[in-house]
Amino acid sequence: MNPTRDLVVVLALLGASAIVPLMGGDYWIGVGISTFMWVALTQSWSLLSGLSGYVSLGHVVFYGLGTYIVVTSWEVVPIAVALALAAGAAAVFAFVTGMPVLRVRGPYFVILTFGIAELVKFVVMAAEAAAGNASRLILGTPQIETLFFLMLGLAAAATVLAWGVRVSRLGHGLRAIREDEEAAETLGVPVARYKLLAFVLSACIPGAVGGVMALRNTYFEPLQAFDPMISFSMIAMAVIGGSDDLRGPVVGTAFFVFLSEMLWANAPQVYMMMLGILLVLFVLFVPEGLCGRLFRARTA
Amino acid sequence: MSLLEVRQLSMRFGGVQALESVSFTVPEGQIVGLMGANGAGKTTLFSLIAGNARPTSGDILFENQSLAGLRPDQVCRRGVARTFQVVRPFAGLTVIENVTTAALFGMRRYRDRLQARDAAAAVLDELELGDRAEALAGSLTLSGQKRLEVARALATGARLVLLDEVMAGLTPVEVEAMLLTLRTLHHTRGLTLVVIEHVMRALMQLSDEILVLHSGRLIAQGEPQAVASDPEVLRLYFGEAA
Repeated sequence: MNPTRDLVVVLALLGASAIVPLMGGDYWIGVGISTFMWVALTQSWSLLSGLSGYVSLGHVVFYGLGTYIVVTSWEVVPIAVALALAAGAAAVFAFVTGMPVLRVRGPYFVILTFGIAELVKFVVMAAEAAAGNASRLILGTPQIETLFFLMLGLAAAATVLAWGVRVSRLGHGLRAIREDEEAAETLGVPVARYKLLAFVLSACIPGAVGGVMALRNTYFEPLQAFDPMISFSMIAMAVIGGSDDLRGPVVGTAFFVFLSEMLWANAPQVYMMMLGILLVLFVLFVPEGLCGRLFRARTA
Repeated sequence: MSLLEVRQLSMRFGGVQALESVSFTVPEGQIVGLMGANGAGKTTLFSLIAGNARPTSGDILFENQSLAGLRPDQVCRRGVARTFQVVRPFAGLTVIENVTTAALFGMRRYRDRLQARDAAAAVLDELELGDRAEALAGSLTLSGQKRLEVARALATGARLVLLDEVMAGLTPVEVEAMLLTLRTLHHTRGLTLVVIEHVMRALMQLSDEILVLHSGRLIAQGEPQAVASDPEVLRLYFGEAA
């Protein structure tokens, strides 16, 4: 594993995809946006869960909060400010919830993250209902090309962030925590601080991604913005691509976007089934993901 | 001067008195052996010193400063390292990554990851694990994993190392090799060691001083020969007839 070489490869791929708007129509630009969205989300999820082993089943909460911030601040603040607020709100939420949540491990952490995401979803639904909104529509959002480049930037930023963590002390400490938290702490790793830092870092870009998706969808509906399927998909993509590898999220995302473009339109039920079956097969037989497997095959 | 001073240390788990008012000092540069039957409180004592557990009462001083209330990572950064009786390698990481972690985060706290890796490689050579550096830690034999425990503790740069049965389960040949390694490390690094060991002969050979714990109380301490002929120790270890 050579994170810096992987970074160059991923950034080169992302850079090359910048020509899509010149060549394709709105359909391909749309595919590009969702691909970049998943790269950014999965890369962020892996930063926490792939490195530390703390599996978050509620990462959609950061995405949803970002969406909500951008929608509610629409035409109040400039888009750039709104997106920064979305990322900041997600980070603050991660910081505040992370302190208690990161005290529990294993399945309890998984359930707790899922529960918090659902809780926030229902709180937002209640708040919207109390305000008399079933959903919100926003008008005058930027053109699809602008959103394409915004999302491309977020995918690149998530990748650079994930790289930075991997080559730092933080990444080293997180891996030790994943392998044996008590042993890590006894060897001097400040486990509580590192877990919280990883949680916050893995939250901010999903917040901004949610914000951009609000502009793309042009409407807001809590059940959709906080859809648990978004959390599940991040995990599926990370697991299939390889969660402790910078290329993993890209490989996993490409695999899924390809699969969904092939199947979603024609046979959505088959797509969902495939997702489940693949996840089971990978967890059982290729837990290190496609990248982990390919890497090991090469060095063995 | 004493590097470690344990004062009136007591630990109670529910109804069990694991340690009862244990006091002793460990002079700098010495090897102190810790003996006692299973359940005597030896590992509990290590857990309290290393910050893995909080004592019910009493105090622990390292370099004349209290370790009370410190987390394990803070104790480690003060210069105290421990190994675990049941080995706890980072199984999915390579041997050198395991040791580099200790070099990055322990007392030495290397800023530069390459420097930390070089330091880790040097420690692995001392423990004769150099040729296994790129192997996954989980793939080592028990003997290898015990050595890895010691290597990680050393790589933190600790001045006091608590070794919890690093020779248990090893073959006689491996025990001899480990003894030689520990003596060499003690000599070259000027380390202070507290050693828990069931292999009596090994402990007697290695230690400057022996402490004997029984049911959470310290019942004997002194030079190995004196402790070995202590009537109380003989009674507990070999029965009334002795």
